[in-house]
Amino acid sequence: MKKVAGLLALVALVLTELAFASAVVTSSTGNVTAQVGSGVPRPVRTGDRLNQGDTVVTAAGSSTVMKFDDGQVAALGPNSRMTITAYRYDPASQRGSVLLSLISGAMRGITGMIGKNSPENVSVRAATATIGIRGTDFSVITNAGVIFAEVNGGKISFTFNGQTVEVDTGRAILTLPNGTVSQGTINQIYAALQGTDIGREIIAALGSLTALSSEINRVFPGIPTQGQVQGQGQGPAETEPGVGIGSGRGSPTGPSGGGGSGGGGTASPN
Amino acid sequence: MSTAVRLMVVVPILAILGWATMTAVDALRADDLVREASLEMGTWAATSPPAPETWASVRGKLDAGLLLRPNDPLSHELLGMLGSLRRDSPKHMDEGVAHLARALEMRPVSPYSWAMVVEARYLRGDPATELELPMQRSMQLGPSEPGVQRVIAEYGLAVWPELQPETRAQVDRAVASGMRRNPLEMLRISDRRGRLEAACRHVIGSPNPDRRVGRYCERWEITP
Repeated sequence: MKKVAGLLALVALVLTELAFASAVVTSSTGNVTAQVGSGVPRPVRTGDRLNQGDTVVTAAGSSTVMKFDDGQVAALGPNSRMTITAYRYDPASQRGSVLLSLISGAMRGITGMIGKNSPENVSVRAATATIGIRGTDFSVITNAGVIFAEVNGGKISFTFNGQTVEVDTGRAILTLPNGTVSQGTINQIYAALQGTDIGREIIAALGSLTALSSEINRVFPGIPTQGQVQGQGQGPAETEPGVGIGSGRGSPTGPSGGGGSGGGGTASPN
Repeated sequence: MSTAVRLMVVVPILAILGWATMTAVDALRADDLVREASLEMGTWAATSPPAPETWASVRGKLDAGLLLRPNDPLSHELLGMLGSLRRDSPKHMDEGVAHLARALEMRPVSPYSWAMVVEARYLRGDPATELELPMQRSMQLGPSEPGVQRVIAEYGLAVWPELQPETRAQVDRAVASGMRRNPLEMLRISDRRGRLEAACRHVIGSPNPDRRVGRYCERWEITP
């Protein structure tokens, strides 16, 4: 009896990590590792399972795309570090909660069933900001204290320094280490980023996420690529009234009023 | 027969009987502890990861069982798997691999023991070269075991580019055998590992009545 029970347990345990998983790595390029807490980093290969508590790290020139049990997709660009801080999903009710923490680097996310059925339970922490995902497709980058988020589909609520602002499709938000917050169309924020080294690094990181679009589309068919969404507003940077790309210290005040108190200038993410 | 002679005969017999009784009781207690632990562990796969206190409780039972019967390979195997669940603790993962090595010393011809070593070492992040011998041994010893086929396909396809030709041959053998036994399972593993061709090439020329098999392999085109 003991032997039978033991063998059954062993056979079940051989696939234990499959049952406990939160996400599957659908693509892993270059040097990608995962670790739990102070554990030793282990290589992450295509098909590996990731769990709550795993911190995924991509080296220079490396990237990964992972698909969560509810269908949510998260893609990490090079030099990124992200922790699956909390993930819970009940397939029966198709509800649950997701909290991803982007410590550094670039991430694009596309929400799944949890985002559809309980969007209030999907959020991303990026440095000192908390981003509630109320829509489907977004990108977040954090680099040297600068936080950038753009919405390619749906809406996000961006909380920084105790204040929350909603950012709609086609718009982006940028915070600087000095507390400056800027919001505008994606092109406006891009224009603001062009002027500094860190800004250009952020744009390059966005490019690395765009390069993952084909893999993301394979995993999540029907989602437009970032290029397609951004293309809607291509051309010279618009200057719409009320859009604050300010150099002064400010706080987000609303969907179209993210300008700082010293608005009118150009944010300098340095 | 004098009393002294009787005592000389009876006392050793009683001592042997006592020792045998205690050994039997220890064996029964060890059996109970391992049975309880394995039943508990058997429920984990279907639900959620064990809470730390549950993990510790099972570990305590297995440790206690091992004290009563130090050379029980099953206890070592269970402790090995228990350790590999602790990705947060390199120490526990190392202990797990050490227990599996001990289990292998006691039953070196168990294909499952070798497969467990493959899994534990992969999860620990060991380089692919360290997985080759256990993969080969596992397939050589249990090519028809479904669990062995699953593990070797799972981790063999994961590290495929890093494997030597002889190990690749064993992984391919595991996939081929798995395709005959349960093609959908093997297709799912191959697809997840991004190596659908490893399974789909075994579908060619042998039409499968299951349409799902065909749908998987429609995505894979033969490129001669």
